[in-house]
Amino acid sequence: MSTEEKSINAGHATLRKAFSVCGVLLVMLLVVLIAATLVGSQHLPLGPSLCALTGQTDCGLSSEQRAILFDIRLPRILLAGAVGICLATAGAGYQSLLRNPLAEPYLLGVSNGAAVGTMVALVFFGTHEWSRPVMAFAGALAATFVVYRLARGRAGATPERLILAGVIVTTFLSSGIVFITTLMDATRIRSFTFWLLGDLSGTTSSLLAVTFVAAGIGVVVLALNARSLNLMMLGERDAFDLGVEVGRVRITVFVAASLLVGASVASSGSVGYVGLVVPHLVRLSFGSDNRIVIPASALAGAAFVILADTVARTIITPRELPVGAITALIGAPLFVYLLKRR
Amino acid sequence: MVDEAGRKIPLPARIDRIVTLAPNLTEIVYAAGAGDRLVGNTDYCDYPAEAKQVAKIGDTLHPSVERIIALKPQIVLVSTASQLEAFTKQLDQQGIAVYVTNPGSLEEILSSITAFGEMFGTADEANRVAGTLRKRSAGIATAIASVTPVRVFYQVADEPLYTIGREAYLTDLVKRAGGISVTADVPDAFPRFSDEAALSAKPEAIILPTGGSMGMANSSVASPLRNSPAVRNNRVYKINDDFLSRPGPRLVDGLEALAHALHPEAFK
Amino acid sequence: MLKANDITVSYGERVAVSNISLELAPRRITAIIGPNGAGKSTMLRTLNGGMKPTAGEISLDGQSLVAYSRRAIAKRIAVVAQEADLRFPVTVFEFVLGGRYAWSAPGWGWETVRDVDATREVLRETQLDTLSDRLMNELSGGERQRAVLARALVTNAAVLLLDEPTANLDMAHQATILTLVRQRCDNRETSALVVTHDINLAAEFSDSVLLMKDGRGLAFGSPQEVLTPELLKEVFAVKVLVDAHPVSGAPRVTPVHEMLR
Repeated sequence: MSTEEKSINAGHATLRKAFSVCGVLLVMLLVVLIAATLVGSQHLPLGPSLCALTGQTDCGLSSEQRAILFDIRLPRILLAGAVGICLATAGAGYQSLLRNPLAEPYLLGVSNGAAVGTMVALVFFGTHEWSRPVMAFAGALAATFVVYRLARGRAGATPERLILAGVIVTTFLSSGIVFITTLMDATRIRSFTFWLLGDLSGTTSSLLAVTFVAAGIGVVVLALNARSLNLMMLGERDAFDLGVEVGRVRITVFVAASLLVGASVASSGSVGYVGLVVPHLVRLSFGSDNRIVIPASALAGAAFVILADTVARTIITPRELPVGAITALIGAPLFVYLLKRR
Repeated sequence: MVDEAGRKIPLPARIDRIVTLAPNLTEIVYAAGAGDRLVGNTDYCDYPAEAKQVAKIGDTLHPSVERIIALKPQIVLVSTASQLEAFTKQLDQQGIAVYVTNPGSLEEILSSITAFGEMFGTADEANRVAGTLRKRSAGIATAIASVTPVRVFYQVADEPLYTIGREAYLTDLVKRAGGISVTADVPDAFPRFSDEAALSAKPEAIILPTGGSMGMANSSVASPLRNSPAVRNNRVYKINDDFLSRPGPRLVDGLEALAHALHPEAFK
Repeated sequence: MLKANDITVSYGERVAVSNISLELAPRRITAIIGPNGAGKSTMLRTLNGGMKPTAGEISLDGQSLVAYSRRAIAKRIAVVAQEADLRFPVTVFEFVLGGRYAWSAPGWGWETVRDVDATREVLRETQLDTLSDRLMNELSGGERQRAVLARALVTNAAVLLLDEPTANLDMAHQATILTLVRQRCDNRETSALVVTHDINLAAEFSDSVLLMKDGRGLAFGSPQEVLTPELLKEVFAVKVLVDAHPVSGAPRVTPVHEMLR
């Protein structure tokens, strides 16, 4: 191989790596997606289900089985996927921007900000379905900026300050949540306790669409800033010196990440630790280049939440657990491990 | 006196001042004929109408100890002992008796009424009321003795979907009304229920406990149940939540409403 | 060519740099020396556009610095800071390649053949080519600082600004870093500005020295002209002995402490 050829290949190495990583993860996601549609609290026959999933109509499924597959299971799995995309990429974005591998929407209080927004929307504009994601987005954005301001001391945002700021914002917003629940009736309080821990059931097609659109916009915007984030995660001043418009990137990433968190919280409540677990595993496997980490986190995040929700809805069937309980069960120990390793 | 938690309660000979910490206990006190001695009850105690005029001490889980002491009751009736240990100690120090009773079935409600009657010296009135309730409940049992049980889904809340399970007294109540809860074997009292399982349950009738003092906004059938035989045959019944969710004397009203809904043919 | 024309920089009320003019000519290394708080680092950040002068102007290749975009400046001026912040694992190659940011297309910015070639060349230049796949935080302090310098060199900027580049290094590594800067200046028509506390290193490697105190420039000229006992005493309030380095002939500064007398 001549030197020139070697350089040409090397020039596209990152692009090729991104393609192969995403290809592998996409296959994995498809396998998880299909597997998840085949298990649930009601048993569906394997062959006919697979046949029906390919779009054929005469597969020998009863109308009830079709309803379970297409009206209940599939929308829920798709929502789980969208939520996974949102939270994992938002986590990767926050981590690079705040130069802190422990940054995560739930731990930063951003999820709670979006939750307060959603609840305000439900209590005060209950009839307008659109108000939920919009208010969730606004809440997430406000919480993001407050955490950022609090964490930024004279010497910049240290990881400890950031986590502390997250704790303060989280507890403050939690009391806000408790206050808003007092304005609600008994049925709603019950469903909110479940929703707050992350609940993917009973989605509507419009909410599903909103979540996917937000996920798409957020991921593309973050990916387009990936190269800048690569430099910013190694120091804002260095990034500035190397040509990054630090202020513009910071605002863009904050808004995109808040959009992602807002959309996921409005549709499913606060599913914790996804933004911590997924980018961490992705970096461990494929390195820290955000041009790979961000799309890979999106795909792996979707697979992770779909898997976690499959466990949540089957483990004590026909009862269900909130999906957030499963993700926290995996995420909290990892958080402790990462904190100790530092 | 020994209460249901097995605690020995020293009681004065005559009790003139009673505080209740649950709406069902308030209703039982009135049924036992001692309603006029009630000096304090919870924000949710709204039945009978006189109960609304009694001084309020907060709600079941967040009672104001200061206000209770200020009312100088001789006895406080509570429905749960678990969360109220510190609270009970404080009242004990003030010489106020705390009596725990948590009736969970029709029989237990009736025996609570007679027990209250004995305690408050209104045994005649209490026994008369308990007798009437027993007779009404027996009447239902007779009426539905030979019916085929109807498969019932009891929807506690629609989003997310909650129902009644093995440990709920309502599962038993549905059975007494000539129904059979399709979720009777699910563990817990009020389990979070899978949408898929609900769709497969195919109930013949759906019960929506609605309205009442807790304001149950449970007015529509959950989406996985919209294709069920119950909805197709127009067999969705809204019943006042207070009849069902309060294990008190009006549970018999709930039983009658349920039986009439499930088996109109038995009451012609 | 980077020029500062009579610039003043203030943080609110406090004046950090006052009325300093400086010209960084190709092939020349200029050192800024002065006690802590003299305004050395502020000067450096202002030259790079990181701070705006409250009076005076910075010009780059004949045009005011404010007319340049962030990327355009980064192509022409590179900065070497003291220490890289490494909380995420990156390889040496990835790290140095980051220096090509300003040359890549906005957005995804996939690196081109040119970027990769430039990175390889600089890695050879800084003798890091054998370490290119290692993680940055596995390197020794000297190797890591060489990678930080390599990231500045790979920009191909005609101006290098170095902020205490040798602060935490041993003698051998200090010399390596400054030798690399010297080579770059001589071979590529590059000019360099080094902020340092190490007067002898400055005397050895620089062509001219700016002596700063309290934001003002006290003297500017060749090391021989500036590094005199009188000026150094005025700036650092320490009596020093200056003689000629036996090998290079550059001024050699030795402090004479009270207790030695």
